[in-house]
Amino acid sequence: MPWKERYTVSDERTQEDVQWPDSGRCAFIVVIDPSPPCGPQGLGPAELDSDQAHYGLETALPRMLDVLDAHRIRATFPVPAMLASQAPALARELVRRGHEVAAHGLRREDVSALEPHEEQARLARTTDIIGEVIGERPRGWYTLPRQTDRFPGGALSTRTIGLLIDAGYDYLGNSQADDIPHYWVDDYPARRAILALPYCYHHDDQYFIEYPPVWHGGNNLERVETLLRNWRGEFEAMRGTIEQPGFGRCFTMVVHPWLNGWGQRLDAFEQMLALSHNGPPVWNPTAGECARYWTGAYPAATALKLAPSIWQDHPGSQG
Amino acid sequence: MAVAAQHRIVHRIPGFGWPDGIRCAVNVTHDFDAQLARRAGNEPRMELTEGEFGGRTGIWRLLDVCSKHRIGLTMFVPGRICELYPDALREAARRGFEIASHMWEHRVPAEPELQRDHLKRTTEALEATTGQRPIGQRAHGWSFESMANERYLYVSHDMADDKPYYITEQGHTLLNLPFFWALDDAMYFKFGWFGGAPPAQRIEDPDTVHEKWMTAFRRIHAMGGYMNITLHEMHSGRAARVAMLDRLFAAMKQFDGVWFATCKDVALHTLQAFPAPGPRAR
Repeated sequence: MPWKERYTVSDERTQEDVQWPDSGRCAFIVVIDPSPPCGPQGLGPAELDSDQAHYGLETALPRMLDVLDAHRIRATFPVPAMLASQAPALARELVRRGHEVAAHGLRREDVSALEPHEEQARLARTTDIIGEVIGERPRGWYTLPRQTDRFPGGALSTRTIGLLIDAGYDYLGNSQADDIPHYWVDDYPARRAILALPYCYHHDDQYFIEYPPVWHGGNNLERVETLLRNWRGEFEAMRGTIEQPGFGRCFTMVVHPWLNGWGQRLDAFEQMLALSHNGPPVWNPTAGECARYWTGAYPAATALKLAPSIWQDHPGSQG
Repeated sequence: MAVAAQHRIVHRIPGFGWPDGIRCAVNVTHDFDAQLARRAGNEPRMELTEGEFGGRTGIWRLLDVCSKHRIGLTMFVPGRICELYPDALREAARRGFEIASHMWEHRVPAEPELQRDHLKRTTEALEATTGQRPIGQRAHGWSFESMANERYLYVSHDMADDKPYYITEQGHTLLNLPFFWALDDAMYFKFGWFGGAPPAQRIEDPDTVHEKWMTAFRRIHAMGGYMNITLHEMHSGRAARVAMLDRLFAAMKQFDGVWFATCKDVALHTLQAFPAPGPRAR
């Protein structure tokens, strides 16, 4: 088997001693996923007209935008094309207020079983629709987990990365392989890779906050204190204190407006934003800005260190 | 006292005790699964990246926090890791940590021939990569005969007692250093642990786990017992959890007479001070 295909997406060892702009002790990326809950088919007419869609987009999101403004924090919004075309004014408002709109599939559907030409066609259509709505093509592509997914990492097909590179995307928004940006290798001999930004489900609100199982496989939980301690713990471990440097990595939190518009949840979200400007400085880019910085400071040509494969095929082993 | 269950005999060790000056022993163990458990379960590609975090990033932090506190880390390593992350393994051995074995590709083959082959290949790969021949093994369901043939002395997976004890199977006796689910980080930090459905998720924060494990430790210390903590680099190698382990180890070191030993240290003490009943795997 060539390299470590089907096991490994990047090089063997992480980048140490990362430097961030603006004297940032760590990077702080806020991802706000505005989609209402859906299953593997993604957003259809029913999902786009659900209570969660109305509440999330019309009540919660404006409130969260005001909280972001109050703390001068910029966020990245992965938006499915169908959502952008249903709410174009909202998408443009996000950009106008300094946030980034990234692509989140045509309708946030599971692409892992699509025919190759179908996946390619949907990707091109998504890029066109979002580009038309916001006036520039999206630079990043997300595939965040849906509420009903059996696995919490998000789904892609074996071709998705190659298609994103072909289509000129700058970054994949969510990979669990590191807690800093890293290169996802699509073709080992050609060293063909795309930058992937870190995602970790332990910092994604939907795994801690109640939504009943009758609605898209909800989890029955209301553990906002646990979520907040997880967020704070990771953020503080990365930033460190004035005396003691932290790990200095990239802390990414993912929130969903339909879950976060009120009460103790909005409070937890706001506490995290406040924490980011109380203490040693952190760098708060959008995902696209982070990707642009990274590919300049740590370009694949020098930073991606692919060891020669020592992988062997053994009889009686998985390939 | 021995209790027979099917073909297995459990031999508790009456009057078990630690070397002079030692009140309780802590084995910090690490199952170096990286993406192998995910791959063995045919999980989708994005899940493999969860394990990849462990191999490229988390493992180095676990080595550092254990070195900092002079913890005798024991790493249970699948043989395939020698081809995926050989540098991390060599560094662990260089720092004096124990290399033990944890299947070939994180599965226990049903076919006896293949099982023997996997164990032999794992043992040889670990020795060739690290210079240490493993004497311990963690994987429930492995044949005692094949472990005896490869000269293993102990296992660490069963939980019929909470102190070291012996198990006889297929006429071979091995020491068991008991494992306990509530001291396994995956129980707190893994979505879908053992197939748990979304409504069964209870992902914990590091402070809560710190509190549970310190409470367990205080009782174990008071009883003069044994604590076997299981970490996974993909879970406990995350920044907040390494910071938690740093606090946990510092707090445990405040207690008198704690032996932060490797599993091998505990095994050699037990084999010498409380020898196995009857013929032992050798």
